[in-house]
Amino acid sequence: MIRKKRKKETRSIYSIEVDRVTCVIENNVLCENVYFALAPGNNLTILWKDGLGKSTFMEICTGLSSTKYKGVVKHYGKNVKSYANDIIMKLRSKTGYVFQNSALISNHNVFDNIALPLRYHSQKNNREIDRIVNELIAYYQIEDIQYLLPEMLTTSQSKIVAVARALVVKPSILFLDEPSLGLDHESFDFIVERLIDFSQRKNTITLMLTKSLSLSNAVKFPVAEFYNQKLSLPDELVRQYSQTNNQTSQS
Amino acid sequence: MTKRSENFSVSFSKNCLDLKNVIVTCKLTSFSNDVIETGSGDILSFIYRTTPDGNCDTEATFSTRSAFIGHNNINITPTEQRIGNIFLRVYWKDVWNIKNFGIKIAVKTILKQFSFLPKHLTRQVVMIRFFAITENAGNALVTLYNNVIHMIYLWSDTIVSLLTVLNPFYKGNKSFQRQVSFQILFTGVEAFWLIGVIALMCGGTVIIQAINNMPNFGVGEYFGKLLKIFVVREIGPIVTFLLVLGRSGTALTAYLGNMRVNKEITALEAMGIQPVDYLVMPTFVGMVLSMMCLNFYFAVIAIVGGLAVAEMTIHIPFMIYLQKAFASISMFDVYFILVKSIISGMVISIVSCFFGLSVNNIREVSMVVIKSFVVSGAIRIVIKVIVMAAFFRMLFPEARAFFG
Repeated sequence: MIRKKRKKETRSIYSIEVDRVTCVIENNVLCENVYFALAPGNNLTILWKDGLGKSTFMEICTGLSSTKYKGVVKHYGKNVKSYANDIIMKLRSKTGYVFQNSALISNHNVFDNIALPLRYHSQKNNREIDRIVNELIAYYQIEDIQYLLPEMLTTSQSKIVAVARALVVKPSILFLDEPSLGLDHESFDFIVERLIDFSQRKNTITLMLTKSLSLSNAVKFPVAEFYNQKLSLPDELVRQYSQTNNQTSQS
Repeated sequence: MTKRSENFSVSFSKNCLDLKNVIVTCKLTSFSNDVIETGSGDILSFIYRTTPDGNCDTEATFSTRSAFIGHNNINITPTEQRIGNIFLRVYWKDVWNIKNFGIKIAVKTILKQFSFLPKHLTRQVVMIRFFAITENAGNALVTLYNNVIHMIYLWSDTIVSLLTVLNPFYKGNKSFQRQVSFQILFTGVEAFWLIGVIALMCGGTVIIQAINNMPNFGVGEYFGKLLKIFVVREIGPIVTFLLVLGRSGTALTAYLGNMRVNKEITALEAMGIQPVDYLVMPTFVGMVLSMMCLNFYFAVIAIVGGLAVAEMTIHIPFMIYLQKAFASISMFDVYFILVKSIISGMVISIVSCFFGLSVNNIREVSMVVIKSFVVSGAIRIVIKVIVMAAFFRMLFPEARAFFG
């Protein structure tokens, strides 16, 4: 048999690329022709008003919803829809996702919630997993509440647990959907500190969707803003795109 | 199927201003392609301006519930007039599409009965009503078909996931044992007392009635066989099934529905965890194991406890009857209960999980709980009937005498 040679795809430098995405739900246009791309080391805050489809857009960016939009979402240079299911699950094991409502598993306590991704994905034994989780619990200062169920936690506590759960696998990409919603001042400062700490690690990407100006000022990521269903990108990213375009055209 | 065309023009063949007693036949011509998809019963809202000549310009927006290909010629019957807008209900002239196939002949014969009426009135009175009914029936059938297919997919996914976990070289998914033990605790252990009491009552009643009444008909020596057939083979599995379904199956559906509403299942997917691996498969295993244990437990309690109750109330020789009962039970009965309990466990877990995972919003949770209860019962009965019809003679050779 003669096998057809596959075309070698030029591997993109961007880990996430959202290319001309248009999302219309029930005649409401959420976004139109949105383009942005994030390479390792980039962080981005998108400012977006409430009730206009923030969570839906986040699900599109993460590849969790594959039917609601037109356009292409690429992860690691390849369309999300073209990945096989097993591979996409493996890729997701290296990403963190903090939901708007925390979305902790309701019949597990805090410890089990944080240990969940490790227990499912990692090859380590239970003792090692417990050790890692205990270290993380100490780092997030939630020793007192580690055996409580999610329903007993306050909003800020559950948010901190959600951030801890997202970061337990040491992800390379972190998606944050309204991380400052319902936080008190102390927890706000605490979470901002941890986010800055994460963003300063090597080759990590943070994509944050929020409406809070105070949060975007605190974390000091480049800010893109949604206005009239269109995204206005920050100058740094635009400059970066033009540079990469020049490089690719020269090569 | 082609996609629904977004833009189309409407040309009316009759004067639109005269709304009474007129069926306005219009032709929809799409700009992109010639086929327009809509379903009967869809409400089109036309916003149009009329001129004194009766010609009209239209700007139409158009929403569809169902999508299937139809013809261009449709009847439009005006239903309501508002200032500036007319809301029109659309019915297909040609209803003989795949959904209405089965009721084609029935509608035709009914239409003949109304042949004395003028043609347009017949259509209005009869066809409209029957089209709505047939469409609903067709939709229900399609939904049922889809549900059954997806349940089978879920079942096969669960089996594949189970085989993956049982593979000794597979090192992921360490929460499997934890989830299974939780399910066994919830389904099996916590139902222990309830099923024990009910088994005692069932066994006691049957045994007391049998000991009192069987000698009157001269069949006293068949006491053991009666217990075996009635209590062990039939009442036990059915009562256990109903109790577990009512206790655990519905709770499971509500739990998964709430998880879906609170985005916990999306969170699992975002962490790269398959909901089938993490939620459905451990439930499946736990449910099957606990159903097996509960069935044997029911049989033992029904016989031993029932005889003890009978000894206390009507003073029978306990040991003699116990020997009679156990002497009649063979390995065949053990296998029989085993198969029944495995099937019951599978049906409850898969159907409950399927309906729990299919929830879209919080209002659906309560509806879905009842649905899962009814559908599980129905599927269990259907499986029973099919198995009995196919294998009855093979399973019970002694019954051949009745069938000749």
